[in-house]
Amino acid sequence: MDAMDVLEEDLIAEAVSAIETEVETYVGTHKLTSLIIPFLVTLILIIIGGYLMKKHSLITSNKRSFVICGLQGSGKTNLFHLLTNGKLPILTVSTLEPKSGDLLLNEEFTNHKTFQDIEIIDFPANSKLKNLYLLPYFHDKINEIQGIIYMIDSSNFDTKSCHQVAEDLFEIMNITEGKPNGIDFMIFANKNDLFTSKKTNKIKEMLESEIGKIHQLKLRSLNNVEDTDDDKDNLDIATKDGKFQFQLLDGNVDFAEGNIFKDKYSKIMDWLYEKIVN
Amino acid sequence: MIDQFLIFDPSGTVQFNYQPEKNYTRIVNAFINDILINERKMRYVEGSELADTTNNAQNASAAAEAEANDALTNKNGNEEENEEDNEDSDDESDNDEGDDDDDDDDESNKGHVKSEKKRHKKNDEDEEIQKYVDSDISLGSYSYDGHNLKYLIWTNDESKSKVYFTMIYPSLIAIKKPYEFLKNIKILYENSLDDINKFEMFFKLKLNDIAQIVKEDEKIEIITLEESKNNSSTSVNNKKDSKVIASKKSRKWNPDGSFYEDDGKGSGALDFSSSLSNDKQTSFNIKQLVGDKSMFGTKTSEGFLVNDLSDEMNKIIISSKKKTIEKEKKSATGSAFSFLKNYIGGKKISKDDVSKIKTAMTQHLIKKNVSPNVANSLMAEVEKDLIGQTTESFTSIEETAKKSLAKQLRKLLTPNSSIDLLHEIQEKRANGKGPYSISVVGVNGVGKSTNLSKLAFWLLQNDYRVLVAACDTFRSGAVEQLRTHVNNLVQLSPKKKQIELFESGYGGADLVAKIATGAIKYAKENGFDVVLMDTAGRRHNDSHLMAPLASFAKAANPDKIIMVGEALVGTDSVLQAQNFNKAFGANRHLDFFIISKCDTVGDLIGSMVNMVFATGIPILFVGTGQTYTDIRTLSVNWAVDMLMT
Repeated sequence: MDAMDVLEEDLIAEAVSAIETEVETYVGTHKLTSLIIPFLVTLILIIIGGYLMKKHSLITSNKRSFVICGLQGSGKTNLFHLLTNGKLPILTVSTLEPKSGDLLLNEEFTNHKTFQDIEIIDFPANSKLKNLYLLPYFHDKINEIQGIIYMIDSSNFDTKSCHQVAEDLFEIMNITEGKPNGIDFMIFANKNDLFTSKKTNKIKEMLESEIGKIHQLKLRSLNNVEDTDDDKDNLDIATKDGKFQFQLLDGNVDFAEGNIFKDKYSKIMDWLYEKIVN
Repeated sequence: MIDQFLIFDPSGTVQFNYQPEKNYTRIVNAFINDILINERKMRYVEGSELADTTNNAQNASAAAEAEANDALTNKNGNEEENEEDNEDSDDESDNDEGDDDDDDDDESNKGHVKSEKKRHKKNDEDEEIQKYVDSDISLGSYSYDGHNLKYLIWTNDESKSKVYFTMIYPSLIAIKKPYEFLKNIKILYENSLDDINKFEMFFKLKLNDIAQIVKEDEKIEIITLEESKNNSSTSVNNKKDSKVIASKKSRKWNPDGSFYEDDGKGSGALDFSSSLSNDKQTSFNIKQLVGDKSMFGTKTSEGFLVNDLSDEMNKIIISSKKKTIEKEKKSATGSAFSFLKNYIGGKKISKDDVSKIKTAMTQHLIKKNVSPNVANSLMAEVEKDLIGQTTESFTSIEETAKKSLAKQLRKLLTPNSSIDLLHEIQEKRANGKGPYSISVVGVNGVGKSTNLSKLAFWLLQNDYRVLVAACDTFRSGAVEQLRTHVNNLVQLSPKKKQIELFESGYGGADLVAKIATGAIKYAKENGFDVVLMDTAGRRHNDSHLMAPLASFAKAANPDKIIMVGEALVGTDSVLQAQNFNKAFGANRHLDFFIISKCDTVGDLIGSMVNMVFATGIPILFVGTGQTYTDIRTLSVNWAVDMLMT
């Protein structure tokens, strides 16, 4: 903030001096208009001040965002479009850049004040891009995040993808649990109506045991070069009797199932509205 | 004809989809993953003021050199491939992967594309690409799983938004002037943004045009096909020219293939090429690396016997971190690039602005031990990123450029997928597949044995039984050195009989492989979980010394091959990494690096960037001191901070 103030002062000083020089030349030629000049200067100052105020308020505004993440091919971009446009895109391919948009509200809520400024952000799943976009975002704007929708392709949830999901969740939850009260999760088992899909209970069970295993391994892993405080192990509290449990986390973790391709995502909407109201 | 035509934006939304039959998005996804995301070999810049050689031809980068080397090796067997290399080196940075896969494809699918005709076509394409070298358009090709993909990336200068035009068609079909088609579509799309239906009609019309060309093309192809058949039947094992065809055929007819394998020269080279492409492909796709290092636990140092020293090291690292933060703050007002004025922001960055910063930043990188070529290409990426961008409020161009460079470095150093060594060892043990073997290679005196014992110590703390195999049978005292380490580790290990040394004295190169296989056998019989193999240090540019590595890798077939590189080395690191990466023969490459002696260079850790840039192989561990606990996982943020200060 100090830097900001200093900059602000610098800026104003600069503006004033610039105007003064201009004014001098101006006064030299048009003496009659000299009254207008102080007026102009104040006007400009007001404009700059207003701009700064606006900027400032933007930073501290209670903009709330929901983050969609998950593995590749779990339907993140499709969900993003459903939530922001209300319709599925023609087709999606691997996402390269995160995209944000405003939540499309039900008619009854459109003019409701608590439902304004809700942002939905869709992050790419590729691990390289995750490090480039998602993790810095968590680092910078953790206070804006109201909740995380984690998509899982339940039709293709075997031990391998379970391990990947668990690693991913472990990484994210370790960050979110660092925040007081944590961040709420909605783990959505997409494509649940397919023949091969697993039920949420089963998924939850598998994830808990897998995250527990990963947690144990990470404890025994090597230290990071950079010994910073954010390297802490935040998932310790969720481990009871050597077993990891979602319900012990600070943030609530809800499980739901559906299929966004068949318009069965009402549970996500309910969850969203609930989180927005709270 | 065209299987699918997609227009999509970076957020993954498809704007337009033409798909007469099946959905081929998996090819587009592979293309996005391989080329758009994992493009590790960025184009080296020509004629930059700081390049050690201003000559364009000489200024070819290390990576490009490697590419050229590949081409050379392939030359005798496969002229056509060279052709492709040439073609591809002209267009955008991305195509290394593209042409690798092309080769792959050649093998599996389009056995009957006549080389001469193709050459002709290539030239055409070459010209076409040349014609469209626009600032806002990049063209290229990619092949995957029997399908070709031609793409056009259109960057809108004002909004910096990108649109990707991709066309998928079977590899067997040659389409005339694909880039012109793409370009036309782009113009159409640009002009009918609001009316997608109109665009669809236009598109169909254009498609008819291309269909006719394809038909003509097919006719020619049938004729040339027959020619090629004649050729190949008469000249199965003759001259170079026919080898191109024969080699194509050999993939179809197994007897031919086996015949060539016996032949030695020709097929050796061919095999090499094919596996090279495999090699690279795997390094893109299956490369198993560590994900985010910041997630590693913090408890290892606790309860370690050699705790005090490591704590000291930590303190040093923390204090240096603090310094970097302070420095960062200072440089916000411009210590590093102080000559640049601070702008209020909201300024559109022009090429002139960037060129000023570029020199300073390249110099900065070089000071950090980054090799000049690598620095130039990194800056080229930054330039591409910056031009046309507007600075944020209260940030100068300098700051924006720094941010962009940090982003590029982060992108480069972040591995594509995560490696969890403990998890893999656990899995292998659970499956009862025998011991997990890791071998360490590197130049003389970089700290192979030291890092090996550090790894051993860490594994011992994790209750694994470790067998150390002394595969350095060359340098006198190497076995004794390891024995000393093992004796120390026996004392330090929590349980009895957790670590043993497997050695068989000194001798020639064949002994190395024998020891390696013997060690694995012994470990299996005696229930060891991990085998760590130490090898002799060797000069990377001596083929005599490097040659045994291939046979060693074949005999021992370690689960992980680690190269130890030292942070002290400068520009040579590029070649070291490349030569070692190539040394294991066709289907094997390095799995990751350990960068040793990081405590000796402070923040001059540019060698890391060089090595990753040259090979695309990630750094997993860094050595930070002399004791067994001074091994850490690399944190990308840490490295980027170090490099940016």
